[in-house]
Amino acid sequence: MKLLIVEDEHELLTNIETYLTRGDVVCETASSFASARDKLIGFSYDIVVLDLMLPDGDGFSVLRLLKDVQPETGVLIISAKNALDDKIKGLELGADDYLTKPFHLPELNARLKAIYRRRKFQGRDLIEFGEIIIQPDTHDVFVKDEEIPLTVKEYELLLFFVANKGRVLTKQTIAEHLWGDNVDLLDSFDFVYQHIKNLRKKITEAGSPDYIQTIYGLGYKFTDRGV
Amino acid sequence: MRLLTKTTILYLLLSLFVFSIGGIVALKFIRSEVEKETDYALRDNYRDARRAIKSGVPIKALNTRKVRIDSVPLSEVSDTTGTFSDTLGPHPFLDEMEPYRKFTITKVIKGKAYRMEFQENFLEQDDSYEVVVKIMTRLFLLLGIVLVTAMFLISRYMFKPFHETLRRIRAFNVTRTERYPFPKTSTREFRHLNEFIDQMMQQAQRDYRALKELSENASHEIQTPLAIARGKLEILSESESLSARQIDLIQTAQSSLARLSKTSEALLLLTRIENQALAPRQKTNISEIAERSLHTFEDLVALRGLTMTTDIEPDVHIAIDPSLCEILVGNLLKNAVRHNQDNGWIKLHLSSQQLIVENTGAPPSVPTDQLFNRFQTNSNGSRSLGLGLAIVKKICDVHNADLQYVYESGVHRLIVRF
Repeated sequence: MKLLIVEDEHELLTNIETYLTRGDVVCETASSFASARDKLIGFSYDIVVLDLMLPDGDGFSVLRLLKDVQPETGVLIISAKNALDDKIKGLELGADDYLTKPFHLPELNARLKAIYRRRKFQGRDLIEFGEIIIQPDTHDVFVKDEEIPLTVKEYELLLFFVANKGRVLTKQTIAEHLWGDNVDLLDSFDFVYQHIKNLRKKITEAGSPDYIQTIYGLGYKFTDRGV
Repeated sequence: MRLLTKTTILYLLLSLFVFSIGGIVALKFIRSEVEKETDYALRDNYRDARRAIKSGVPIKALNTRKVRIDSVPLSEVSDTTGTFSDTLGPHPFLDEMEPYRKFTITKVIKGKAYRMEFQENFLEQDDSYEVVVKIMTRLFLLLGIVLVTAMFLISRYMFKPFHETLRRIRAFNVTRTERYPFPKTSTREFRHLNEFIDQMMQQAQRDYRALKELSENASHEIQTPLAIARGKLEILSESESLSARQIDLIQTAQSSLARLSKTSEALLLLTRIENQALAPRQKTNISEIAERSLHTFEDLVALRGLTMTTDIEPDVHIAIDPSLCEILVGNLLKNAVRHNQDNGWIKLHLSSQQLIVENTGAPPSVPTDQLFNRFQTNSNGSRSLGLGLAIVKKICDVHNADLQYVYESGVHRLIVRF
């Protein structure tokens, strides 16, 4: 997966680049409208991560340019403005998703993977992890070819884990992913625990190893190492 | 009371006072003038009588009801200049006394002395008083009628620009950018008033825009460093072999960052609602939003071990921005879940008049209406921000809805009346 990250805040750019660059993910960066334009004209990318506020032009112009030269490229907007107008405008101009700062890096990662899947396979490919097979277009989950019934939240949780496999996910990150702005995360940690307990039980009962590793005091990691 | 009604009443009272004084003065003038004229007539009568005596008319022929001439011994008298006096005499036809003016003089004519008395009817006190009062009353009535009529005409024509100004002030909205040109008026005071109000309105709109920009910029400036710090901690927590102590430090820093981020977001939202900055009013199907919110909270309610019953009238439309409506319902439900107790319940009732969210829970530690204040939290040890209900209250205020918090024997009830 080849990404272009357009963000003028240097430290944030480094964060995203450091976090995402792993395995088959390649990141390139641009910190101004001009350099973003040059890169978009010269190279092709799978997804562009785009900050709306740039020092020499607004992100919407980058978006328009991108839709002109590389219409098949996905776009994820990151913005400090949680303004509905910007969100609607961005999505209308062809952005795939919109994320408000400050976001969790695993959340960004999961959303990028979702966009990638949608763009590349129209969501029809299967996601495999050990014994677990997820069918994203129907939301069905199989363990050893046996379908396991998951609730909506459990399904979302599993997908989030698989997208961030091998990474640490705090309860806070998980809670925000599952319930968004609607819930103050500060007292929903127990709920996260409940969901994870149920998910773990359903998967292991179907005969899969327990991939959900608890990191005491910090959160969880979905990994096949140490199983 | 209208300004013109007030001034008219005041003016009428003042004229009543002036008319009374005027009446007294007029009465005095009339009396002294009448007295002068009567005295003049009496002297004329005396002159006629003297001429008649000189020409030899016998005094008996001169005596009438009003003239009395007696001859007196010459030695007893000397010439006088004559004196005027007031007296009462019988009315010629009526059986009552009436005032007379009397002129008495002793005079020597052709060597003979005469004592003469002349009388003339004098204007009665009551009569003159009545006349004056009658005149004054009529004048006063006339003035009153003219004034009241004038008041109506004035209020209709002269105060027209003033009422127009009032209408514009009432329609003023600080969030709009368009100007409200005032109609031209030839009245200087109104012109000054309009100029002043126009300036104030522009100033308010400028200040509002500046404030809005400031809060948006502030939010941007806060969220970006927050995103950086959060990212650094996330990258840090990816590192291998962290000690329990290090993990604890990361975790604490993360939750403080989350709290800061949520607080600044909520404060920005509060300012936005306060300034009515969100999209113009439209009809929103609150029933749909309520159903959707319930869906979001379903698993939380179940995990918390609560029972939820709902009674939602379908297709209730109210004039509210949809995202604000979502926040309103969401915050009420959030509140009901958070401040609940084990095995408790939540009831949601929605009709076209009101939205009621009821839940079980411990009694509030502060008076319920204080829970709408910012950063006011109820349960001790709760880590809630204390902004949820403040936001609900603000949304209700902006949309002229009534919000009530009632606690009654273990049940918290929040009522929103549209």
